[in-house]
Amino acid sequence: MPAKQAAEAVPGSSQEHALTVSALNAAIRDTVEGFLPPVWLAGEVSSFKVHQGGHWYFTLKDVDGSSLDCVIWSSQTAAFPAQPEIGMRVFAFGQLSVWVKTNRVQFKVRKLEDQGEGIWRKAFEKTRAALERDGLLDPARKRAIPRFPRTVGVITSASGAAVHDIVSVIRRRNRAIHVVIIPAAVQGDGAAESLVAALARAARWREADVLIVGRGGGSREDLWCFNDERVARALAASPIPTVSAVGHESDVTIADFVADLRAPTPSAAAELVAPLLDDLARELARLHRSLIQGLERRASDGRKRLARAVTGLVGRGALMIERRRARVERSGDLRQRVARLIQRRRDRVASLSATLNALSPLAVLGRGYAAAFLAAGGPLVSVGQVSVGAALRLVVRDGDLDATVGAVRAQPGREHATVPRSGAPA
Amino acid sequence: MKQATFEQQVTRLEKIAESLERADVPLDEAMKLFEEGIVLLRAAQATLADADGRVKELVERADGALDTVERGGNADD
Repeated sequence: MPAKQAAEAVPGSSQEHALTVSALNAAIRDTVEGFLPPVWLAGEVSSFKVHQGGHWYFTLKDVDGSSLDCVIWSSQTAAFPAQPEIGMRVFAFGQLSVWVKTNRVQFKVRKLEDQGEGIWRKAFEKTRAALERDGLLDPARKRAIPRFPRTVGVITSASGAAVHDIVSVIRRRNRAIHVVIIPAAVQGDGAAESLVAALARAARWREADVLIVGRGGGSREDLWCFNDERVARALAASPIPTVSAVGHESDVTIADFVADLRAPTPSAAAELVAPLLDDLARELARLHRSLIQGLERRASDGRKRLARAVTGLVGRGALMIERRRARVERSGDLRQRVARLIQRRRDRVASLSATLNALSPLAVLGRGYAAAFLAAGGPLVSVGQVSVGAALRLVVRDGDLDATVGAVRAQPGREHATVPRSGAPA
Repeated sequence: MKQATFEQQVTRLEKIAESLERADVPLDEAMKLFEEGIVLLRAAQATLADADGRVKELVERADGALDTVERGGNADD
């Protein structure tokens, strides 16, 4: 019969068609999964362990003690900021299922959120501590943002609100600045990797003077990639100074700690990096004035010094010339005077020698005179000096002789004439 | 980097202006500094006067080379 045949065909309807345990368990699983769509579940984490293979097993329970086994497959754990802690109150989004092998009912968790801040706070602090340990949060690491960037790199979503804000603020403030967008995913799966890759690209490109890294406002999960440790380390490693610009003023991310400068919003970041063109023009004008004034002052110093030097030089020179001139003049005069003096001396010597010659007793003696000397030694100049018989010495031109006075005859009136010549032998 | 950036130009200019303030700079040195300053100033002013800032996007070619391309339709002017 067709009916019997049909009944016999139903699995488990006869010994002949008995089900296997696994088939039934699979049927249970399919029934459960088919009957219950994915749901949000509220509960408290009790017991947690990471299984071999990286799966997370934990139990959720209610205050009345009802409990349910939960699992997060290792392929999914990367999506969770941190491991849940025992006692943490969470919302778990997942699918109730059955582990076929043991017919164990379990809740396959796809999203896990803390009812408070706990899990995020924990992840945040963990990353922060790791960076702190490596000294990446040291304020001394922070570099100065260039005051006059020529090129601003913007790492953000190419289609988000942030890029529009940043570009329009920079363009408004300073049309000389080049803006180069380095697109990156800033939320969802792979956002952290995308940001890291964009930072690496910016580093390789090297043309940007400063990088703005950020995105507009969003949920905590949306902004989470900016709390990623890899993103933080890439920011710290950037050879180009970075400005973080994530969400709103109240959103503080790990990126803010590591970047060289934190801007409260993307627009604020644009204002911080782009100086007003007018300010720059004014600054250049000021520098121009200061160059000119500086040179004028140096030139005027120079002129003064030159004037002083010239005055000094002229003064000293004039004095020197005057002295020289006087000396030259004097020296000419001197020569003449010396020559005259010499001539005079010469003349005098000549006349003196003539006189001397004339006065020389020898010359006189040569002319036939003899000089008479007393025996006592003095010259005989007066008859009064001797009497008859006195001895005299007579000196003639070629010798001397002794003589005796034979007679003395005074000639009156001749005394006077002989007195002035008393010093000279006669 | 290839040419002195605007930042480097202005930084150097500030240093020159500062040097010119000092009385101990000899005049011929001051003249040289002034000339250098004027050249820098012209270059910096030209940079500003150009005001040719562009908005581009960095793209990575298949061979890994990086290039910038004009961003179409992102007119914020």
